[in-house]
Amino acid sequence: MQPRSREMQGINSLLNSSQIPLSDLHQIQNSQMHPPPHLTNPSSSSSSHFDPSSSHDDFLDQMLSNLPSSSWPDLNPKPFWDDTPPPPHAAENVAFQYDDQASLASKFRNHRISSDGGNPSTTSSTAALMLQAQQQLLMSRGVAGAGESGLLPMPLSLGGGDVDRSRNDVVDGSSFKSPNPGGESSVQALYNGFAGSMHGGGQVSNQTQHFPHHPQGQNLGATTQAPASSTPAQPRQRVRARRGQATDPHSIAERLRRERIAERMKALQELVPNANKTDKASMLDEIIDYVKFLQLQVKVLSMSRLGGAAAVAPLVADMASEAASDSGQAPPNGNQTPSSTSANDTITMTEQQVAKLMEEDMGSAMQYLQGKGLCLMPISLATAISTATCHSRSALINQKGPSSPNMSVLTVQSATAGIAAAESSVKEGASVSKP
Amino acid sequence: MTPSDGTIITATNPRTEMKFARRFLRSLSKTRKIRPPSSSSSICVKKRSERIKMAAYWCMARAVGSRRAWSRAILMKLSRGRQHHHHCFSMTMMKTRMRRKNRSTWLGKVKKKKKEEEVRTRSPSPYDEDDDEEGLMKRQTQKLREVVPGGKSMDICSLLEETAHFVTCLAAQVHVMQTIAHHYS
Repeated sequence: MQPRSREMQGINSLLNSSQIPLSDLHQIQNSQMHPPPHLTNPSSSSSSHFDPSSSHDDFLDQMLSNLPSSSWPDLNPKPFWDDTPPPPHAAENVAFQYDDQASLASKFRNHRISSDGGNPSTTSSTAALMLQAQQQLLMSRGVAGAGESGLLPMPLSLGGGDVDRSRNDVVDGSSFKSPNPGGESSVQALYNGFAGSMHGGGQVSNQTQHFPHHPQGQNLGATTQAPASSTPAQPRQRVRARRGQATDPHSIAERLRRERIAERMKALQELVPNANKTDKASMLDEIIDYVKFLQLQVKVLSMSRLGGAAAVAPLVADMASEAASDSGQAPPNGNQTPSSTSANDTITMTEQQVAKLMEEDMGSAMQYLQGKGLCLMPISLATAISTATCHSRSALINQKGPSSPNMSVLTVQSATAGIAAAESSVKEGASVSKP
Repeated sequence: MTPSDGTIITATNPRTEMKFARRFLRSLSKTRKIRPPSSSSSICVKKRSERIKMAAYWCMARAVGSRRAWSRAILMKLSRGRQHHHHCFSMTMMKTRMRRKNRSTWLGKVKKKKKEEEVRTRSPSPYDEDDDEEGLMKRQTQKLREVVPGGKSMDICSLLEETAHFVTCLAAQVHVMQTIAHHYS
């Protein structure tokens, strides 16, 4: 992350992206010390933003028209505001980005355009001011008053302390564990620090409502590819909502819904084995396959209680044809779909194929077997298994589970062929043998 | 081959398992009493296994209770069919007729659903190469709705939640049944 260019970018188009000002803050915290002379001036004005008793419209009015805030004694916002409008806006964005951005954006643009901002002399001051603003926010929330040097660890510890307070923010919880891998998670930690401080301060309920969503919305905003641009060249009245920061209730509800879905998908991901897929579609496929596999296991288990190998054989054929039609796709290495006659045919065909492949190359044979969900085992082991479980000739099923070879169900044992192929799911090792 | 070696590593909730195990064992013993287990005809065996499977799902649904939408769906579906199973045991003329009609409709519905599912899973294959992400997601959610009981009338959010719970309960069910099968053999 290029600090300086990002800073400029962030300051110039603060409303464009939600994470950039915070990453700037992060950079600032990492790089700079807090110069004392800026302490008093920005503190008074920036604190006006965080007046808890007012709604966001009032915030903006306060901020921009420089009304004195009741909670801060050393308040002289007016002259300061005229001088450097951007950083308090930045601080405001840091804390309350997600609400009423339209008016804020318009006013911000007004100020920026009027003040012709962006002159390099103010960048350092703005950076320092943003830092001060954050510090003020933290101090105003009654957090243990850290000194300026303690500012950086504080949001992270705040975030850590607020883990149990935040509800089921799984993503945020994970961000706590890694406090400083990059800008983004520390940004989340900062947000959670703010959220926690808002909780701890006992602030206005609507704000606290917004804050727990803010980290998630932050994630959403952070994870979206490119922030929608609200160009400075636009007329002042038209404000296009940024991605992840929409203002109208429909998109907010939409965002909440998306977040909830993502939560649920994550929970499912932990349940289902083989959950290394990042794609949502493939994850859904995996889930569907797993549910089908479990249902198939229940079916097989219900059959296994009946006993009698002879009775099983017609069932075997039925299930094989069922499985072939259910899975609906043949693996690419030329698997023969089991005919409706009997399962033994498929077994012999498989064995012939494997024998042919083994003559050429052992690896391809193993791959072929793996594609069918089978594996090779020595004959002694196979016979040991068979004598342990089966009475007579074991007519077990060769069954194709769902498409992934990891999910096959039953053991195959051919007493006749020289190769004993035992089917076992690779990952879970689920195997059901027929008595 | 012991089932314990090959159990799937998923989260199991012991409380549900205990409840399910108790009910399932009870129903199994009932089934054994009613029908002698020595029947060797394949149709009879198939029917028995089907019944055991339905009993398993029903016991699981009862163990979970009405808290979950999928368990409610299973209970409703099975209570409709179960009445007719009991009627068939009692063997009165009217009831057998009703049973035949309803079982045909119920099983017919099941078979039709299966065929529909097959058709639906096969027919999108020509469209697989289209980059319509929305369509793919819709197809997958449709598949999921079919697999999870009661999933037809739920929005995707609750569908995912129900699926998670359903998966845990299925895993518990499989675990219990494997242990029972192991003890039997």
